[in-house]
Amino acid sequence: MKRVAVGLVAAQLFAVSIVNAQTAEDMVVAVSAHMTRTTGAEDAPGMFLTTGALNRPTAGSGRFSVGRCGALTLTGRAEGPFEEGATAGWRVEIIPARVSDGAATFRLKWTRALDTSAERRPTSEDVQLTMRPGESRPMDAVVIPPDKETGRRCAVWDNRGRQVEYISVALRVSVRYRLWPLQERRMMGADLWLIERLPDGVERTQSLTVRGLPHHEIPFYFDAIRESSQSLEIFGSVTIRPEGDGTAVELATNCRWGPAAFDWRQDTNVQIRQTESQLRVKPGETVEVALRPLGDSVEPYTARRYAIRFRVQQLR
Amino acid sequence: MNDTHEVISAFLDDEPFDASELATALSDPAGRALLIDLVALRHIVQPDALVPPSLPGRRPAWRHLLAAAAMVIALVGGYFIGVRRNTVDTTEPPVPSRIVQANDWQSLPAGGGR
Repeated sequence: MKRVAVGLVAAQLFAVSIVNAQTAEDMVVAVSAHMTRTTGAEDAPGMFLTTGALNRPTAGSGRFSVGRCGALTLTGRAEGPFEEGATAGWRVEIIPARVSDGAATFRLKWTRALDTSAERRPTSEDVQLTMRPGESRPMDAVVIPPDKETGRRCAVWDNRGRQVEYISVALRVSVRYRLWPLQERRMMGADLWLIERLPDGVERTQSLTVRGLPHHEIPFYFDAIRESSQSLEIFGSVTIRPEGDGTAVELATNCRWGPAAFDWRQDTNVQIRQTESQLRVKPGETVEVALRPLGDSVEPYTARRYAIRFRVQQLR
Repeated sequence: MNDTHEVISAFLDDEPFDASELATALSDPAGRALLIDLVALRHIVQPDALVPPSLPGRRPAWRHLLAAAAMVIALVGGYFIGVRRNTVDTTEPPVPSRIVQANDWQSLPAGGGR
């Protein structure tokens, strides 16, 4: 009996490790460079130093060189010379430690090893961080000096082939999913049913089918439930994560009610509530999430009960 | 007038023509353009009175009323079927293997939240 118990626990731990490995396979740690234009807006990051997929402890290391006018270069390996004429430079190392419960723990070592600006002070950090995909943290920023020869700001080409003048560059560390949406080929689908139970026992159902990428929120909107001059709208998002032999599902549900006739320019009087559910489901399993009663203030929907039933699958 | 013109013209005038010659003529872009020109020309010069007027006589008034009533019923019925389809879906959801209680609702400030 003892052997059986130990065997069961070992099997469970093995299953957990498989699930974690599956999640880790989808995740990387990245240090990204963010350029701010002279007009004040920050561009989307266009340069990344990343680890390998976190199911294997593959470190990421490199050096960022900030060249003339903010022209940025990323070179492999933290050690080594910066680009010729660089005004600032960072050496960065990311060392993955583990992935547990969907969060990555890693060590981040970085040094601003080059800075030709007047306010020259070496800055560095050696920290252990734990983050979930989508979370990030600022690291450091430097001002891009005007061109040494002309004394004026000058433009560089951005990722879209436009000439842009930049005033500063910042580094940020984040945990994200390994594949960009354009690279992701897996497709997830969800069948959703909104079930409305009236006090007299009548049950009304709406159904929706949505599809989208794994790890990304897939929005859904049920039709408004109208009653005389009032309208109740139930909508939200479903996030589907393939994990080993099952699937993790995050169901974020919002309900919003107010006058059925509305002016979209003045929607501040609408009441909104939100609830989130995290579940693990087996392939083909249908689960019902019973929503809490809406409360006394939500007439005429107070006495009704709502539930969302769903079934998810990987379509490819 | 060349052969192309003749065969297309004969085709339009319901006169005897050689099908293979017509096919050859229409395989040429100039032949197709000619066909379009001739059709347009005939449309312009067509007399208005070619179609015989319908026979005189009045239909009973009750038939008009019946037709109008049928139209109103169809429109109103279609509208309500459409409204009903929007709110009530007859697709039966599958029976759930388990029921999970959602967490409590959190009120979001007006104009905020995702």
